[in-house]
Amino acid sequence: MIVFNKYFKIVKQHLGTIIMFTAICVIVTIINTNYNTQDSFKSVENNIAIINHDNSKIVDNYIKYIDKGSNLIDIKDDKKEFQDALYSNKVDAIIIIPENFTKDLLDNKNPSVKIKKSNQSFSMITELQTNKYFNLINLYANSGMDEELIIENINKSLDKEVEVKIIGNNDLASKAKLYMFFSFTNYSFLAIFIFIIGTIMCIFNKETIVKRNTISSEGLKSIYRQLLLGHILLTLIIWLVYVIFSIILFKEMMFTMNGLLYIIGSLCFAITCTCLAYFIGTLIKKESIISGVQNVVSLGLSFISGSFVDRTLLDSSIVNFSKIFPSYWYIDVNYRLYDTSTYNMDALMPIFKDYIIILLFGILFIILSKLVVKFKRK
Amino acid sequence: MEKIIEVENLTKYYGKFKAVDDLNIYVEKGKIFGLLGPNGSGKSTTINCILSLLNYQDGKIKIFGEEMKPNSYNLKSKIGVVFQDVAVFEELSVYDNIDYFCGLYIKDKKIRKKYVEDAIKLTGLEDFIKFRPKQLSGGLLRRLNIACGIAHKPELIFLDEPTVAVDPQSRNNILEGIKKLNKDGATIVYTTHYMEEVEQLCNRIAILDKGKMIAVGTKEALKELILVGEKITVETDNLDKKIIKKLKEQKNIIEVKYEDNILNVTYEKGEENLEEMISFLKDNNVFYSKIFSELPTLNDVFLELTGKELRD
Repeated sequence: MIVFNKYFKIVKQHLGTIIMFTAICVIVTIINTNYNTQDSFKSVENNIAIINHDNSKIVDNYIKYIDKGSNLIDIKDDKKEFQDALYSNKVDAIIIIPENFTKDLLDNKNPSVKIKKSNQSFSMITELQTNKYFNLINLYANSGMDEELIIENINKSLDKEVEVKIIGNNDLASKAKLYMFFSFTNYSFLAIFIFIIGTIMCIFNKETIVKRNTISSEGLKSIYRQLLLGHILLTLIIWLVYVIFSIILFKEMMFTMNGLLYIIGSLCFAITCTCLAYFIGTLIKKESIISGVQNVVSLGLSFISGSFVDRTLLDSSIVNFSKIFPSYWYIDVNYRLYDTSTYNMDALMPIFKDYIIILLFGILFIILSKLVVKFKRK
Repeated sequence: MEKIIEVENLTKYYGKFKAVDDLNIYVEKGKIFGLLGPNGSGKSTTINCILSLLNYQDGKIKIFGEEMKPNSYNLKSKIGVVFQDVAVFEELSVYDNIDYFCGLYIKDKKIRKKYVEDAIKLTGLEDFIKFRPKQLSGGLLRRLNIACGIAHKPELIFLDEPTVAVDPQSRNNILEGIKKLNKDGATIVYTTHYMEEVEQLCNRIAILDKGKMIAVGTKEALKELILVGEKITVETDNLDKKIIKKLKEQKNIIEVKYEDNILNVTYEKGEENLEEMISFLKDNNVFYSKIFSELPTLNDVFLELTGKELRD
């Protein structure tokens, strides 16, 4: 096992580059993950116009209440003006308070305010807020309170703020983060493995070294087998670093079925990346070419497979073309895992099928490598 | 004497170019066999064919009595090769490089450690074991190249131009090392275009030119093949033409040349003529600053057999 033994001494000489590359990839992955997803609730402020035909303290208080969570916009009391403002999204909703509204309300006549909404879905919020406010007024009025007391009570009730935080294992934001993290490993694994393994293969493929290895009693097959073993061990170490990072970032999520399936998928892909890098290494003789090939392959496959850009934004012909590369199937696994919340056989079968396809690519790359080595020897 | 290598009618083409032409050689056990020839004469191609690194069109090659094939691992374990181009890992230290190449043959760690240390000692690299190849001079790098090729103590060693571009100190070290390996029992095939090295080291020599073997034998036997004998060189000013004419009339002389105050006289082989020359110069009142005699070299042999210098 002398080749295997010295393999890691050679790797040690490139350790600085390997650590730097891994660190950059991990940092970029983490930044990318955090940039693209949000894990907390954020309220939306609507642009609201209020046309008030009723001068009362209750209505003035209502306007103050709406103003707290919205931007009040002034527009003319004119039908045409209303349509223009809504069409151009100048306002999300227009609230028209009719004359004698407060009086009718206190007299239990169930008056209503007119609300004109835009197509924006969050304009619904304004309607909900308004209904909530006047329902409460109605409630307090029925209990016999005067106007002053109603306002005092309603302000107490509405001043309570609720902090919204999304919790639970099925938390969509965290799932999205996890998906982002593992999808970005498509680029990281390709870049790191092609660079490291390609470089080592180039060292062992130098004509002078090959000649010396060939005339030795060890045999080229044994030497290449030991090299492959070294590559696989190195792959497992780097993959493990990523798994550890995923556990640090996503904690208990990684100890669920979902997390486990992501880990298995990344292992399958890491092994296939190693086989691809091994194949590329058998083709390339000069170390200087490695970084160019690494960039073309890792960036190219990441773009066309949907690792960097969502597949829905890509042309269907590009997506179909990317099916001939393992990256497509790896992203496919990750997408399925993002989309699945319960794991029964129906949900698991397509995932396992993708794992097998990814690994078959690895076997294909090894067969191609053997053919290249055989051809070169001839 | 047991024959370690037997090559019969070896013919190798590169496309239409005949690189080795019907070559027949054998190497006896415990000897140093020299393959002498100018660059492109087919020396390295012959070695690569013998080692099964190249396919050849015709001929038979046997090593240790067995046919050499790419998967003859048993035979390969007895062979060490030092290639013309330095073949080491830039990323490994001197020690690790030797350990790696030795490890391709020797599995036992303890034995390997001793072998590696022996190779380091033989090549005089004791002070450089932690150095990386980039930190070594050209001569030391060549020594490392040799150490990597011979560390597993092979019975048969091929050395393909191991002293190319090497300083005199390293060259002497390498040549002494080769003598030591031979003394310890190794059979050596040595290729070079430096005739001095071949004369210094080899028991038998084959001279190659354009892929063909033009002569083979001991250095003495090869020198017997040519007419030229001793050469005497005299440094003298303003030599009279009459004296040159008189000199040409002397017995055994093949050629007399006088250029740039240097007189070169070539004799037929057989006798030593220095004493006679000194008497001639004295009798003719010729004053000289330097006089010396040279016996014929393998370069003379090559020159006479091919009409060109070895280093052309």
